[in-house]
Amino acid sequence: MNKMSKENSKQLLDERVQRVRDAVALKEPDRVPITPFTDIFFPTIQAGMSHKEAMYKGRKYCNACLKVYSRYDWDLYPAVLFPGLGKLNDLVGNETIKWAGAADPNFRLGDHQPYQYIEKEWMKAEDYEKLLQDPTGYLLRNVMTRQNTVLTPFENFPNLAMFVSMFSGLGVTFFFLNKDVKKMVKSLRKALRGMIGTFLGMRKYSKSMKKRGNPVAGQMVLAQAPFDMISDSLRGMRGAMLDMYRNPEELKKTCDILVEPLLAGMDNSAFTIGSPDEDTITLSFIPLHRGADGFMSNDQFEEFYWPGLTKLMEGMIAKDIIPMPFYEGRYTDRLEFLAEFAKKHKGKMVYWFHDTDIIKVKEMMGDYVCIRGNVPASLLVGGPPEAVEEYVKKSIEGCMEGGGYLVDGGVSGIPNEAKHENVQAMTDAVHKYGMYRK
Amino acid sequence: MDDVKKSMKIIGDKFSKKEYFLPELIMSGEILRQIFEELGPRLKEVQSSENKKGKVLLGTVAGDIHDIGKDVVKFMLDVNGFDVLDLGVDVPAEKFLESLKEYKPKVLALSGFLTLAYDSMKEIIDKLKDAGLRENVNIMIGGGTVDERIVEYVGADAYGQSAVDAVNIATKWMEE
Repeated sequence: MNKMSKENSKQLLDERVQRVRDAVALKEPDRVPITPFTDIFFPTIQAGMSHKEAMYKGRKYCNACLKVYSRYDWDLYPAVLFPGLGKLNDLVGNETIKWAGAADPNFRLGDHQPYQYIEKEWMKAEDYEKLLQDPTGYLLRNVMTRQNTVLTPFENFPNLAMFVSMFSGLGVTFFFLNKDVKKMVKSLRKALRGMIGTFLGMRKYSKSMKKRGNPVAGQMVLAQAPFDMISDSLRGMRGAMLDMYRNPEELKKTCDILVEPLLAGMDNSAFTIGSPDEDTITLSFIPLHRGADGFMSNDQFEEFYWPGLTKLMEGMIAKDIIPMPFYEGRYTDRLEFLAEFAKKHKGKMVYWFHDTDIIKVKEMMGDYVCIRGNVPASLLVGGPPEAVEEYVKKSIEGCMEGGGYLVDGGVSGIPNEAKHENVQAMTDAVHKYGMYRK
Repeated sequence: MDDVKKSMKIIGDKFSKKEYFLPELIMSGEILRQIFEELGPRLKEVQSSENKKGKVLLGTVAGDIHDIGKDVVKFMLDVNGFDVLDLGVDVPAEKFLESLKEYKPKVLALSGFLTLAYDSMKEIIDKLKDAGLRENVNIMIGGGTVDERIVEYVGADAYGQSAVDAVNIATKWMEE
């Protein structure tokens, strides 16, 4: 892209953001926006880096994003998430994922393998009672400590609230003098120091993108459906699904009580990073895992999955956050649920689809919710560019009416192995077929 | 033991009709595990049944460690009378080739959740062609980001969207 004046880039930035805002609010902008996420390793594969380098060289990762994303004329660009994650994982002893280059061979994958989560039963079914009595205390002392071995001293973290009592208050402070705790703090400091290059890289990315008139999506508000949080991080899918039969009340209650801390976490991240929406728009990504067709019946979905997720999204909407559930897999059997909820929150959300027919979705609920998606990964990897163009054209024709449509890939946005010419074809097709007014 | 087999068949049928889903498969797997624990050494007899429809070689391809989809396919093929050899996850192309030569299945079922699986599947099938083994076997593919377009990209024969598809495709091929 050519060097542009400050005024021009500010104007371009504002135009792009407004285009996305209009589409989300169900107003017709001048053109259908294109707002891709990319999978973590798309920019680094394009820049010729290995996955191992991507996991450990945060600054280089950010520079790859800057270079690769700037090739494309998009309306909203991906935020860089988790660069340098490998280093941080090593230092906190993360045992929930496997990744390229991990210091511990038990968690190490090949240099060209993307990181992948390990599902494990971190919490036994018998422990629901403890979790329900004191969710923060239980997760802090019993789960987080085992998922991140460096944080083990937190097993003995005192009940700080007892500071209100002058008798037990003093004893509470001894925790901070414990030698294992001091060692832990030292490790965490080291971890943060090791991340400085990454932070600088992230700052350079944001600043340079802004200078070029490229709005970077505010993405720090990530969320999860409560059922998925239990399935992914506490009980494992097997455990969570057995609980549907053996501990249904505890499971439902836990889904319910997890919503508040999830919402509070959003306030924290908004506090930490300031007001991110001045120059951009935050679409809060909620990747959904076990709610898809085939995983459970509609009755089970209605009983166990949907109530927690909708409570979470309602809480977000009340805070003026735009929820963007990512309906990964196929949600054809669930469309009635999705439509009913959309009707209650017109123009306040984005529904991102993977393998559901978005033209059918548009007919069903296009008057109430902005749709995002769903150029298939198979096309973005396998091509040819003409087939990509044809798919985007058809999607635009079926979804553009009345605003409410954002073009992106179906799964993970642009997949890691996508070819440049196919991504270019997707981008060009939006500029070619997406105009509302000539 | 016949009762166990019969009940597993019923569970498989209900899964095909979308009356049962993963929680029911997992729950019945758990019950089955408890039964086998009681039976102990007699387990082997049950597994080597006589009325097998034919052999299927199954695995998640190199680079990918996801197993949920593969395991559901294995369960459904099992209860529908196929003899299944499951190679596990992150299986290198060479391992598929070796097992294919030894086990001589009529069907090869390749699973993958990540998009990198496309090229891993392609590598396996290219190597089969090079070794002159491609014609001996029917190949079906499936998994999270896989779709019918990938059949041509990797040089397979069919795509299955669900475990039920996998059973139907394998049944058709065995009857050919």
